[in-house]
Amino acid sequence: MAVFIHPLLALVFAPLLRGIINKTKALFAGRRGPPLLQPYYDLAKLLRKGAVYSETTSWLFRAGPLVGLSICALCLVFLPLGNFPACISFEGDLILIVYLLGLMRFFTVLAAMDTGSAFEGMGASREMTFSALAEPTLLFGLAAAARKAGSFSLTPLMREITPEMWQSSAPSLALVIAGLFLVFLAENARIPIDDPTTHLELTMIHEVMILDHGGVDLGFIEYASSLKLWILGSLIVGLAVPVRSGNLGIDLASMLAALIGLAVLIGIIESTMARFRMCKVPQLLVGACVFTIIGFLIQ
Amino acid sequence: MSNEMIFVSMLAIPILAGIVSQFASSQRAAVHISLSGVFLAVPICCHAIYNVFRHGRFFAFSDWIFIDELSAWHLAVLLAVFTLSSLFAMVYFGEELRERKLSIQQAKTFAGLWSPAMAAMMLVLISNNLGIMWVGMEATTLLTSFLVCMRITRDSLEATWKYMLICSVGIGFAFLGTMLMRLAAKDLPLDPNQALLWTNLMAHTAFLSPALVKAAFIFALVGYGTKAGLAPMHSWLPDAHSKAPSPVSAIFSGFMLNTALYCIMRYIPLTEETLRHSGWALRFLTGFGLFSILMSAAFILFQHDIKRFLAYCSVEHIGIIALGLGLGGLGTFAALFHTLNHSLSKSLAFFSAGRLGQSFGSHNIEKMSGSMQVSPIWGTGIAASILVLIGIVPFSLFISEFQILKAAVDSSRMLVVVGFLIGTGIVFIGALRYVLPMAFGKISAPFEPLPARKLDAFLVAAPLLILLVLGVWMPKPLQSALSRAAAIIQTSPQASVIQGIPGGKP
Amino acid sequence: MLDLLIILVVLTNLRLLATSRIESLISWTGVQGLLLGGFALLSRWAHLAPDVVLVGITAFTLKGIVFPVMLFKLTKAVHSKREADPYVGFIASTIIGLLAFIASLWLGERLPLPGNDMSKLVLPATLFSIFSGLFLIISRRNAISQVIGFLVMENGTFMLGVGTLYYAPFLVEIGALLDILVAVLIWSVLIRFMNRAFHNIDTQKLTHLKG
Repeated sequence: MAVFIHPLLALVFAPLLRGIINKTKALFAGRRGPPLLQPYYDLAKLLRKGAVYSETTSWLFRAGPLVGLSICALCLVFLPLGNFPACISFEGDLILIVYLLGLMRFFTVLAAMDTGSAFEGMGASREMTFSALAEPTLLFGLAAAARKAGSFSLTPLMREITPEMWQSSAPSLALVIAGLFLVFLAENARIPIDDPTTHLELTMIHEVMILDHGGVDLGFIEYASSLKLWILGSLIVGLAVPVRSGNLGIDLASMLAALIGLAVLIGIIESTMARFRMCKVPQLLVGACVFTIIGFLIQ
Repeated sequence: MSNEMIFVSMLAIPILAGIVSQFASSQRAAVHISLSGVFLAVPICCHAIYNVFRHGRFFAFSDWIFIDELSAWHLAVLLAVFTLSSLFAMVYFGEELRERKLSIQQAKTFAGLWSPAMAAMMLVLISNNLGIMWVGMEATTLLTSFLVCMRITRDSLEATWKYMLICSVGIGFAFLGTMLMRLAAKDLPLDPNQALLWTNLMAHTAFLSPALVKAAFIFALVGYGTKAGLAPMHSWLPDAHSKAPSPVSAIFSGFMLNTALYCIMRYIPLTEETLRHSGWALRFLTGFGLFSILMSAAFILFQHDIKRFLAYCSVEHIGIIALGLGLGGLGTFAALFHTLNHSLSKSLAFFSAGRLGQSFGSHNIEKMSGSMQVSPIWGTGIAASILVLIGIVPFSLFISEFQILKAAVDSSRMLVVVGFLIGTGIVFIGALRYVLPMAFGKISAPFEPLPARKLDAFLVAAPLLILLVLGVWMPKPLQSALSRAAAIIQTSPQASVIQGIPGGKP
Repeated sequence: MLDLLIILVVLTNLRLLATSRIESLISWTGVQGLLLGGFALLSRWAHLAPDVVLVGITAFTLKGIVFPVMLFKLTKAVHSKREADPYVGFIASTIIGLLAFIASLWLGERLPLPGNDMSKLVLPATLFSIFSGLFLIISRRNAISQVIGFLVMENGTFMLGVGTLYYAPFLVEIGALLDILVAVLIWSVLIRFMNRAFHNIDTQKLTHLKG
């Protein structure tokens, strides 16, 4: 039974993370901000609406959001919770997760280009460029952790990352987490790589790709991106907060607390920094790649 | 005089002279104070050298400072070069003063750096501690850098920049080599203060870690080789030697390159002993030496500036010395002999080039034709010195080159022989193409007549006479001194160094 | 802890390879100097003696504070802000740096440092610093960047000098630090002269002496 807790928790609480980020940003700006449960209200509203489909689009346009949501939900079953195993775990499920996320990105980009609009095409090309730099980082980071733990499967990996392991190889793990955190920001379209609140051509990467989606499709996309936040976040939290007490309650509570802390951290970063110039983003991602590669090399 | 006093005064007198010269009120006073620092240190050094060859090596300051036969030989060459160059500096700067081209600032720069540079080079020669040897080598770079751009022009600044940058990088490598040698001595049962002493390391080579010693040697060879002017690290040499004033060029080519080679000579026996005389280190020296000879030969064919030509000639001769060291046995003996020959002839060449340059107002070879008619003394100087440098019989430079060639033939290194002959042959032809018109051609540019003074005649005659005499007769004391010095580098028991020296035993 | 310091030094090297703004170069060299001073003290914590402490503090002040201040003053004096056009761009430099680090790690395994030394990363980090310094000297045109390349090289050898239990005598290390100080002083003067003569410090213009 314990193996289903993590996916269920993720399905229920993922939009809450978004709410926390927005609330943190608002508090920093001196506002009261939207209520914490606002993302849920938005989802509910969107699911009730209809959608308008352009005549230039094909089945890809409708498939994009569906594929995205199903892939994100699928990835949830591979995530362990501290010492507790994931629903499904086998050698190499790490790599499967990375490629599933890549597949989701592929369909999102296709759906964007399917509209035939230059605007979405621009966003698609930017997305592919940056992901070309972010994916190796993700892979190297996870490979470094896997090399440390001696297994290419997430469940044994997370089990090996204990406080003792942190003591013996802190630099390597710290570098991996730094690199993965930058990938986290890139994949979830957070500042300083992308600005999720604007719809200006200058600053958009993810927002522009979903510009033409509406109604239920948009609801699926929003929900899928919350799930993606949770997935990548739990990977980072699993590496950074090595609470492996064996007690389900403690592990669960610590993971939730760490995820909430992560959300608050993102909110703080978004409030204190501006988005980088577009030409600097590849440099940032290359830097992240360097972090993870060095983390991989020094064991 | 106690050992400590000898060493302290050897170093202190030139340094003090340099400092005091900064307070001088005229150019002449500044230069003379600095030069007197050099001259006053000479008797002390001679005393030290005599002691070494009489009684063997001696130490001071808890063994951090010492002189053995190898140091003493190099010290002797240093004294010869610096004395002659200091005398020449009086002539050269005297002329500049007369033409009012030497400002007080430039004179003070020269004076403040000339004798301390000699002290720094002496520090390299007398230190037993490899680290202090490195400090001295770095000090020579730093002290001589402003000597190059004594007269601030675009070209001299460019030359100084390249010199400082390339040599500092080289010295950085040499420091890494020193550190690695320190690590190689980990198993030595000594406290850290004694662990970098060359004598200690030589006595305990069985405890040194071979891998680290190899790495240390490579870094030291590349690092000190940059300072010595071994190709391909020589690119600073033509610029610095051609743009510096002639007395400075003379000590650069005449002694500073030898100082760097001396440092390499200290690392050779350490490496060879540790690797049980496998010849691993010697191969690198032979390679670098041959490469220097061939590279300089290629560049010599396209020169227009006499001092730049002489600089490339220095690269060639340093290559010859390195080649001799790499061949071992008779080659080591000949290499040490060659340091003296090269220093004397190169100094004379730079003296002549400088003086004639002052007369013609330029160092361009074509403009300097007909030097014999302009000034018989300095014309003879330039012609004779260049002829000596390319190995004319019966001067001693020919003898040392011949001995190196013999060493190569004896050990059946035919590739080395061929490369050596090709390189020196090309230099021979190229040099003759320059020197014959320069000395005997028609005067083609306006010149200022040079007075013929006794000092000028002495400066030209003395080196030529020494080179001529040594070319036909090797005095027994000199031979034994060289053999003992070579034996320090060449610690292999088999090769006997005395064979095959003309004038010595057959 | 020592491992962490060494990694940070390696990261600063990579940062230096990747940046082209002169102020950024100088600040990061200063950061590297501070890290090395700390490293010098920490690595010999168990054998603290007055000379060890002196070397550490000298390194800390010289490399971390004095050199950056001198170089900042120099930058202001010659009005040089940004690297005109490095020969090798940002991403290429980073990749080359990474490959060099991998090569240094490989070499470090081949050349095992003696017995009970403190960290396996000392020799690779040293070799990598030397490579970074050389690369900076070769691939940058601005004269101040080349001086920084030299400082990075010397930082590398300093790390080797203090990073193992078998360190060089105190006088040698102090001598090395002072030598670098004098070298930087000489370079400052040279660069000021060059600026006056050439009106810029782009070393690509120093090509008159050829052949």
